[in-house]
Amino acid sequence: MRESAISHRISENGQVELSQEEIRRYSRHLIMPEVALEGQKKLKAARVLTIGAGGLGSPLAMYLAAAGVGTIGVVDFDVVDESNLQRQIIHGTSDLGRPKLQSAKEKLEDINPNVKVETFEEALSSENALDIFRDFDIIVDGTDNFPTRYLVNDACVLTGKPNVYGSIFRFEGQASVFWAEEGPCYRCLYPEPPPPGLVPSCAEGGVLGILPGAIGTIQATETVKLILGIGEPLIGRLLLYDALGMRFREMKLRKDPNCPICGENPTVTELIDYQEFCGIPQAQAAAQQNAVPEISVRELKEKLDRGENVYVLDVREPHEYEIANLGARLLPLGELPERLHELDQNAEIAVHCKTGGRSAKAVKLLKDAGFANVYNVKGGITAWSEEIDPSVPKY
Amino acid sequence: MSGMNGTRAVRVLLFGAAADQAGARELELQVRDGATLGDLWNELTGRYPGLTPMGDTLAFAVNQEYAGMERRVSPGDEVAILPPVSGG
Repeated sequence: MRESAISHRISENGQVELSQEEIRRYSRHLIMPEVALEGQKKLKAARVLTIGAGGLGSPLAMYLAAAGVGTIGVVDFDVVDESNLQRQIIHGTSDLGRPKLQSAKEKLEDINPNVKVETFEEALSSENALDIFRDFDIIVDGTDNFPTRYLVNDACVLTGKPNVYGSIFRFEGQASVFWAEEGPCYRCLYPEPPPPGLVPSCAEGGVLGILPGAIGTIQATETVKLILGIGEPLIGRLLLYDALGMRFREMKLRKDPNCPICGENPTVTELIDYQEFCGIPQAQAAAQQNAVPEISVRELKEKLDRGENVYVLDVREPHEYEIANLGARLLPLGELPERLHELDQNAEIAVHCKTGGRSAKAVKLLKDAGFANVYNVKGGITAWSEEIDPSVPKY
Repeated sequence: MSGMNGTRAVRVLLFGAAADQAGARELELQVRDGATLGDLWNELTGRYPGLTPMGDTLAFAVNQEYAGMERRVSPGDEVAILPPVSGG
């Protein structure tokens, strides 16, 4: 491949030299002709922005730091939570409750003190994205939601930067390099965002802890290749990784001439409202309109303590019931329509799930089927664990 | 081209949430001569109605190449159905 435009641009970031310590540190790079002294200097001159210090951002930023990328920007505004530690290896148990940027910066500087870590403790938004992106050569997308993914894509197209993309779900991952100057963008692949709730997030659907390790290191590899201008980048190709089948597949992508942002006659010429684009406010309004009767966990507890005849129904899955349950009747949401006859139409029924989403659907379903006295337990078993009985495990 | 038993099957691979909706990661569908990806999609949603709401947001590939609904599918082809994934 010809030297990539990015690799050339990085060489012009300014003259850098390697210290004796750096020469020793990068020995295994320097002895490969594909990297050599010139390539290692390019890595040092490079400025890479990673969006998110989570599952993908962890291995990605750690490897980029170890490889000697001179400046790593990290955007994140979250704090480290226990449920992060199964996959977000840049943070440790001692970091619980700390801002992710703090623990990420410390870890990266420990891996390689030659790296300059620039932190942006804010949510990436249409207001700040272009300003933040402008000073970086390559953007690496490790976000966890659709609005931010479209925002990262559009901001990359508008600033002419490559977007090293990766995303994960359960046992599957995707990776690509979206770079409108050289090939398709994310919108060429997915012009329409999914309606909210249709595609589960990792928080809802789960993810194998190791999976972001596989995809994040592919993103790191693509980033380093772009900087060095070597090999064949994933431009115009979507790499699919299936951890269960242990298979990699590839799909050839094409640039869509009608793409609203990178096509021949773009209609999106500046950043838009991505929450709106992804239908989030519309979905919230609809949810409010379709609101079902609710009860708090405290109210439910009081009712049960008073000995009221409330039938508690759990609509989660059996493997979740095994982790934690309130001793309620288990009837998974998916089976509910066929098993309505098992329930008493006249009973007072309190429906719960993990956090209240599935049980709201169940209440709607039951009401539509003629159940009169049925309500949703707000916050689900998670709220029960937090407010009523901490001995119920929170998962 | 016909299959071993005289059937004319297209191999369909489903990923992520689409596999969950269909309850299968891989299946075979018969296609008529001249069938398009759109025809195959109609057949598939007839069988798995849970897939219908995903229609507009899916990416399709025929033989490892991104394809639109007008793309012809023939026996022996491999069709991949890829929902968007947001996790990170």
